[in-house]
Amino acid sequence: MNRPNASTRISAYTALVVVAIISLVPLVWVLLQSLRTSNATSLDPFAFEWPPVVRNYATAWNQAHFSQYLLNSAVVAVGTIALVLAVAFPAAYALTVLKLRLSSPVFYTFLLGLMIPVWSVVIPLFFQLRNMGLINTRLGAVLVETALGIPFAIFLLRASLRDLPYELIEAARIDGAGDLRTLWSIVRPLLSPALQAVVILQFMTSWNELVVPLFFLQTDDVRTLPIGLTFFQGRFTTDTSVLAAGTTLAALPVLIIYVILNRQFIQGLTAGATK
Amino acid sequence: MSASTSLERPTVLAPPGTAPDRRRHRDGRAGVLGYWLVLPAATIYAVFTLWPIVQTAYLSFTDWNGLSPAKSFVAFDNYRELAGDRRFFSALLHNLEWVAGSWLAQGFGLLLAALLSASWIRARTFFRTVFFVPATMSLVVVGIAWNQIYRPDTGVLAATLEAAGLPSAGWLSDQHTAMPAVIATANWTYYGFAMVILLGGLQSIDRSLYEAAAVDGAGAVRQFVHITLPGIRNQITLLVVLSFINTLKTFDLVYIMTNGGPGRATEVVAYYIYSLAFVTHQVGYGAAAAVVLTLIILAITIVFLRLRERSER
Repeated sequence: MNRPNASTRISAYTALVVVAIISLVPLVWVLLQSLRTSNATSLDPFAFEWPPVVRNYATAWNQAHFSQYLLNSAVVAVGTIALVLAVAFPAAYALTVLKLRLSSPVFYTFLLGLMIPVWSVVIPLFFQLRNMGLINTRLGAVLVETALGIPFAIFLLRASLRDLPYELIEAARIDGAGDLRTLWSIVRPLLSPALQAVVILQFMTSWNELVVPLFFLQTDDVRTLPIGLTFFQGRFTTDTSVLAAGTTLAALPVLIIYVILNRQFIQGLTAGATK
Repeated sequence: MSASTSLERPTVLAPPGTAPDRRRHRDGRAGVLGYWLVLPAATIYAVFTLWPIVQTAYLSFTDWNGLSPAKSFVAFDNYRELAGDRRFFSALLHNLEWVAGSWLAQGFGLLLAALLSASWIRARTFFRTVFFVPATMSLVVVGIAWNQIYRPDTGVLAATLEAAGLPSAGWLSDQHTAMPAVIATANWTYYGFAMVILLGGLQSIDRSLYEAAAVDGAGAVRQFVHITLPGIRNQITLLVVLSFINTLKTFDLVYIMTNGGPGRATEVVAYYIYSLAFVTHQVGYGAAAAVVLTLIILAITIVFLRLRERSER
């Protein structure tokens, strides 16, 4: 398994570069398309254009309420992340460390949520949220997405809690720390990689979520970015350049966060996979 | 909401004389606190997941259009109708094509992971980061981007094929190519994800095992079969289970790219449920289809987890 010969290495790198191109070209092509006029694109889908047309971005931004959608997406994602952390962490701690008598059945009931498709909750939830006055409110979407996120968060946190050195918790108790104190001052810092993983994965799920906002956020003032973009697609099917600009605008926030935090993204996923 | 109330029940005290387990927390005050810690999560989960499922199960026994106040109870009629519903089975078949497609992407992900885990590869982090980019994108963005790529007039794929002298199909408007085109888009977002999961497993395998095997004269293939595959068994099981769970639930790309068409060539179960409950207002029937979908996912997951438990013994 040491250094193989040159031709093996060259073909390996060639393969990797080709896959890298496949991974990026669709996005790059949309980006390039957004910097041209629709007419030019229909004449020749490949060509570049200089100077680039920036007007498409202004049209997309102004006509599509992008700032409102961005704000809504951010509010729903941040709200969901905060609520998931606030409820799933104590629950996972209690179910794993405190060894309650009902730990096991309660944990498996939560785990069931990993297998439940949103389709088996969405129909009655629609009527339920309407009765609760939560339809077309960002709070309603936050609560539903939190409920859908809790199972995985508890699953992930439990795996890390089980690896925690129990002696530390015992020592804190002997020193007179209460359970809540132990939870906050001892367990929380020790668990911070797993908590970070929950934050990242929940951000990705919530930011990209389509079904929940499709049903529960149906007015323009509360729509999130993905759902706004679907309406945008309907309105600009013929104006491909503006559509491409809108698509690029919608892709950028998550791409920027991914480039900054890609190590945490990957660690979060692998932590979920190995435990 | 019955689930949350049952959680409030205080713990039963351990019978006197039982030796306190070091790992089991003392019952009483702390036990009650434990349930208080679980309560918020349990309440949200019960109100917004468990209770709606019970409701869906109930609705599946009714004939309801979602509007009229009266729901007529029809017992198993919806399920009986579903058993003879060709459209449902055709949608399910499309889901299974999707599952098979995702296995191709997983195999591809395994190849990439194996390549990237070779000790002499440089820029590993760079390639891993790039391959995972499509997986971070919202499926709405992905679907719209690929819609543009597949377009016959301005799409880059048609233009490429034309330049190569090949016929440029309207990929998404042709009955025969629409499903493969959508699945290809799904797999574009998936191989990087599979690779990241498998790479995590590969990197946790003890290198000295390979050295020992090489000393014993085992070749690359035997090393792969006897060291690599067992070493990433957990990740493989996870990916296989996830591919079933997620592809059976799949909806976003179909909704964005084809609306189930042309004809019903790309209709999947989730899309069928959506159009039953929210387009044609057959809420009871849609609920029955949702219940069946859930049961299929549960059954497949349980079978896989059992098989995995057995293989670990």
